[in-house]
Order: sequence, then C-alpha cells, then structure tokens
Amino acid sequence: MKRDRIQIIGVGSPAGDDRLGWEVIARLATHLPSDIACDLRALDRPGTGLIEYLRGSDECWLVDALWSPEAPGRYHRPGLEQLRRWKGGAAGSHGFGLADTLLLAEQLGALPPRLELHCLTIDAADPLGEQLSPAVDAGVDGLVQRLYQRLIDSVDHSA
Amino acid sequence: MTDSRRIRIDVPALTRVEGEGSLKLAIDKGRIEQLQLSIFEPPRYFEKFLEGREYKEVPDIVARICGICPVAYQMTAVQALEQAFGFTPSPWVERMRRLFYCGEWLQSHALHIHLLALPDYLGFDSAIAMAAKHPEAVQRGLALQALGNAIIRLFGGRSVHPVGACVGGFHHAPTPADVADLHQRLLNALEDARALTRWCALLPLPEDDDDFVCVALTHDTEYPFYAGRLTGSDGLSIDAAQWDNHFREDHAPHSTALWSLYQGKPYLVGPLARLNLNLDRLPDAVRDNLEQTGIDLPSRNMFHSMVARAVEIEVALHEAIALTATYEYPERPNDPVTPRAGVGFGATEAPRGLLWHRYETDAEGLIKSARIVPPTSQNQARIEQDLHRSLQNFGLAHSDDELRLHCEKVIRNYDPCISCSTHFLTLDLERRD
Repeated sequence: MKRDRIQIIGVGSPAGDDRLGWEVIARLATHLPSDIACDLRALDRPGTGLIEYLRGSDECWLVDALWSPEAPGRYHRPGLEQLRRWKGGAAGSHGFGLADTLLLAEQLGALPPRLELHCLTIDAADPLGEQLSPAVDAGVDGLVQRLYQRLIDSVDHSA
Repeated sequence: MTDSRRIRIDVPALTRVEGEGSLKLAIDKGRIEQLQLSIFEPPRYFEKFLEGREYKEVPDIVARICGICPVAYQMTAVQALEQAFGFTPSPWVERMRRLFYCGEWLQSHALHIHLLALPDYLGFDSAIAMAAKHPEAVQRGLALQALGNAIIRLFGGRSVHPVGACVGGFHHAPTPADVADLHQRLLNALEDARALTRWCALLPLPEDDDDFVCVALTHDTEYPFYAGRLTGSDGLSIDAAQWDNHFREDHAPHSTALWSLYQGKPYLVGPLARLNLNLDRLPDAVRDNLEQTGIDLPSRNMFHSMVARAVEIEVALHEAIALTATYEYPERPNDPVTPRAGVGFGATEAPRGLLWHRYETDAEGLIKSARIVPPTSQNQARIEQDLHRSLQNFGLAHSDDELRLHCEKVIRNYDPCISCSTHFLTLDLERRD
C-alpha cells in the first residue's frame, strides 16, 4: 500500500542548542533522495501558528528541543500524555508552548491522525551560541540517521 | 474586633500574557495598603547592542525584541533611520509597509482576543479548556491569526522575526499572483471580522469607567498604523521629535523596566486609546458595524479594549483589501539610501500601542545611540493606577482567588508584552483584616 506523504517539522530558535530542530531538517534535506514522499519544514517558535501546518496533514513528525536536567543530546519520544505532564515547564510566548499548542490542536480536532514527537534534551538555551554543543550535535546526527532510515524503509518499492 | 491574618498567594507565572512578573498586593483593614506591579526580568540591553552597528543591521536586530510585534519594531526603526538620512521612501514602499503592519495587527489582536483574553469572560482558565466548549470561536481566532501571519510572511519571509524589511524599502516584492491570492483570502475573512466585533460587544465585560489620558497617533486621512502626529485626548499634538518635551522615562524601584509618564502622570496607549482618538478615521463599513453594538465612544471603560481590538481587526482587513486590490509589481522594492550623520525619530502604532524610537548615526551610518520606548513600558504606570481603582470598585472583600482573577483580567486587558518592556505574574497578597 502506498504511504501518505509525511511532514517533518523542526521547531526551534537561533539560540544555541534550541536550534536543533532546524539542524535536523537541514541535515535530512541534504541526504534524502527525491523520491521520498516527505515535506520538510523548519519553523521559528511558531506558537499556535503550528496548528496551520498540522491541520490536513496525515502524518507529522515534530522535532524539538526538550529542556531537561538530564545530560544534553538524549533522545526522547514523548506521547501527548507525557507532554501534558511536562506542560508546566514548557511555556512559550504568551504561555503557548509546544505542549499547549498540541493540546489546543487536539481539542479542535486538528491533530494529524499520526503524530510523533522526536525530542533531544538540552540543558540551557544559550542565546549567544551559533553552533550546537558537541553533545547535542551528536544527538542530532543520531536522530537524523534514525528518521532517515525510517523514511527510506517507508518507500514503496513495488511500484 | 480586628481580626489579623496574612495570606500569601504564589502563582509561578501569570498566564496568557507575554513574559513574567509579579504583583504585590497588601490589604489592611479593607484598604489597599500596597499595590506594586513588578517586572523582574533582567533588562535586555537592545539599545546598547545597537551601538556601533551598521544601520542596515538595525531592522533585523530590533525584530528580535518581540516575537509578537516584530513588524512594529522594524517599521519604527526604518522610519527613524530614514529621517536621520533625509531619505523619503517611495509611495509603493509606504503602502506596502502599511500592508505589512496590517498583518501584525491581525495576528496579534486575533491571538489576544481568542486565546488570551476570551477565557476570562467565558469562565475558563485557558483557551485549551475553552476550545472544548467554543471550538468555533477558537477556530475563527486561529484563522484570523493565520491570515495575519500570511501577510507578514509575504514580505518578511517568515511570520516570527521577519527578515524582509530594510532601510529604503523591502528586500523583495511579492508577486502579483501571491498578492491576488491574499486579496481573496482577505475578502473571505471580512464577514468573520464583522461578526467578531458584534460578538465581543455582547461579552459580559465589566462596567468600570475611569478617567485617563489617551495617547496615540492621528493622521489627516487614515487610521494610524505607520504615520501621524502624536496626539493626546487632552489636546497634545506633537511630532515624534518633540517626545522628550512631554514624556519622561523613570526607574521604579520595584521594576526592571522603565516607566513612562506624560506630564508626570500615567497615560494610556493601545487599541482603546487609538480608537477613542481616531473614530473619524474608521472606514464607513466598520463604523456602521460598531454603531450597531450600541457602545458609546469615546469610551472610558478599559474593558472595551477587547471591542477596540475587534474593530481594529476589521480596520486592518479593510485596509489590506484596499492595498492588495491596487497592487502593482514595482520596478524595485527598495531605493538606495546614503547614510549621513544625523538624528531621526520614529513613531508607529504597534498592536498594543505607540512605539517610539530615536537613533543617532555617524557619517558612515553606524549607530551612535539608540532609544526605544515600547508600548508596555508606557502602559505600566497606567496598569498599576487602573488596578488600584478597579480593585476598589470590584470590592476588596472578595476571596483571594476572586481578587487574583480580577487583577489578572485587568492586566491582561492591556495585552502587556513584558519581554518587550523587559517581562510578568506572581501574586504576593498580604491581607490584614
């Protein structure tokens, strides 16, 4: 069966390791063959504007940084339930961070049927850093490889 | 008998405003003994960052001051720098800056009404909870917000911290096809916007009349976004260059943000001030719709700010429709600018109020000094004054939760952007009965 088009959205900001979502998108873009049915987007702190991109999508993978006291660069794939529990620590502009936005989208029936969150831990958003820290940089490489492999495996070779 | 008790309430952060701060409220024997709106976020030093930078860098740097109103910062900066260089932008650029600004008003006002303020009046603690009961209201807000974002993206490349503006114009011009597509989307949104104004007027807004001075731009022929004279409801009418003769910024001991005073007193900037001073500049269709609500304007009720935002969404839509209807692809989207040593002033209307900039440049166009007075700084003293009076009107015998909610409603009503002014709300309430 032919697979629906996947949308991968990297959410981030220019501030140090918080840019990791953009880096995942940039690195995927350089590697992916053209026959992969996939749309790549990098968004700068979209707030509720993210719902515009989620609506109408059949499958969406969201990549974002997760502030955590854990070591930076660790991979997590939280579900919406976990996100609910983390909501208090994920405030964005006007109080609408990623968790709030996804919860609002859920209430409005705007979540894609298949939504995955792919997160890497960061320990601080350094507002002056233009590069990823070595630990997060390595985590980004690992995440890109993981997503790349799944996309390659999803190609319909029967056509 | 005097019952003595102390109550302390800690809310980690005031929700549904941009930024963090706190409110200290002490009530003694049924009287407000202390009321302090404290902004404790560290100063952000943007004005200092700008010193020594090339004038060309300024629009992209000041856009970073705010994720909600970056267009306002960019437009005020380019206006001031062009004045310093004795440069007059082309009519195309002037019109497109106005259109760019329409996008910001649409997205910011739609966000504030539907996601930040509305839960207060419909009895919900968040837009997420409200969305389950009123999904159509939230959908409408998101659609209007998305439309505003689309306009900003058209010129700025992206809706948050756009990068398309420059001194002299824009880095690129949108294609006629893209503008025609936008024009149709704007037309399609008009009925939603009309309905929004009437719907906001029916909300259970508190009757809370007050006396305050309104300050906003006014213009001979248009509702003010990007041009006009600085006008006050007390008769003030000045050019942006005369700001320092009438306005003063001070440090309040309990706040890291500067407080602006007009003739030594608090004053109001923002949608209600603008509407009160510009009723005669409303498009006919918007005025007719507003008159049907039965609201008397000019209004002394700060809670009518909600209606004013809805009216300004209509104004922005009408303006954007007119500007896109006559769009022509320009020969070039900007004209060359020759820097010189000089001083320039800019004043424009950000969604949450008047924004003022002053730059001094050297002969090469490097920034020697910069001053930026954001709307939330200007409204801070007014918010504190309003809280004091509004709480007394509301009644201090209410429960702590009711008092806190009322304080939050009053504060949110100003749509404060605390990270612009530098950030907001932990409530520290001490009550001695």
